[in-house]
Amino acid sequence: MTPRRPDPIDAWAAHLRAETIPALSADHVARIASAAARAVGVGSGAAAVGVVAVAAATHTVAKVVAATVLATTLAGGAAAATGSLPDAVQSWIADVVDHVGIHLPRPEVELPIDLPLPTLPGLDLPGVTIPGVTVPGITVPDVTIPNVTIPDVTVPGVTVPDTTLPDVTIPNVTIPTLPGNDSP
Amino acid sequence: MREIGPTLVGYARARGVDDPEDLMQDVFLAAASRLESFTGDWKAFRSWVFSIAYRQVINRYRAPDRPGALPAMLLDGARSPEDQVVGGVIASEALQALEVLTPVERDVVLLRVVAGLETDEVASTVGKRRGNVRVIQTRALAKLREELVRRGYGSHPDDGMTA
Repeated sequence: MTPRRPDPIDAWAAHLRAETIPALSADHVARIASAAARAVGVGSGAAAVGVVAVAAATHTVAKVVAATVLATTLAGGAAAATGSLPDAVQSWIADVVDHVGIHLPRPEVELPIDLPLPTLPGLDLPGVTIPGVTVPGITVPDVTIPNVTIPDVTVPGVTVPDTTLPDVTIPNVTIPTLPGNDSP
Repeated sequence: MREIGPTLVGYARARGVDDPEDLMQDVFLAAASRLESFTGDWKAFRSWVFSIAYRQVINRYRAPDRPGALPAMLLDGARSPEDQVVGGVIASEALQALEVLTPVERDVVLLRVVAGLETDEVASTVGKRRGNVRVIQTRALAKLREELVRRGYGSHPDDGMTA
């Protein structure tokens, strides 16, 4: 009985794998993956990293980044999420994040409505690092979101028109002469 | 990603991408930006990532002056042998054997052999039915085997080899 000869495909496949699959270190791959994640996190500012910015500028990414920045970094995220910020700020934050699909509680409106502050203070949000997550087979690296500065917001002036009061008639008032105050 | 990375580079390199690590970066970036839309297990994730790589490879060779049928190192006939040696771009016999395959056959074989995907994963990656991929794979391996034997890689097909 003639022994079975090996399939050339097997040897070829082994050679091809050895030749093409590089011995990339896990750290090296992780650095590249991390850089990609950072590029996504930067959003439209990723133009500096060239072609990679094209994918990073998608609406979905912007949505995630904006939501993350606003809901996670603003006072630790908890304040806005629970509605414990000052009403004006809470409303403003709720309006902003509404545009990116996050709904935060809004302050209740009471009557009469107080005039809003003419200027809402700007916010200087510190950068934050969201720790990576590792599940079997999938590693999501740390994502660092840079500082975000929101300038002051000035509310246009409010003009209250002239108010006309109805005529008021004041009757004559007679002041009695008091004893001891007679003129000499 | 750490597990997929080297095989992504290997696939890109065997497919003739000039800068395989650059493609890996692009694939990682695209995957990261669409991660929220992905659902599935590890196999599905691997197929998903390779489908991104597959499309990027296709797009890179869509230009009319780049036929896309052959790895770049095989198309670089204008360079002198010395230049090729210095540049480290001489195609090995293993890579040259791919020349007998059509682009789709090459993709199927490389995704199976280099990327290590299973048939259903390859089907998902290249957007074809599993049965279709099996037919392509069988035909491709037969052609490859014939070519390898011709090149003296091993035995003749009639000697009882298995795919």
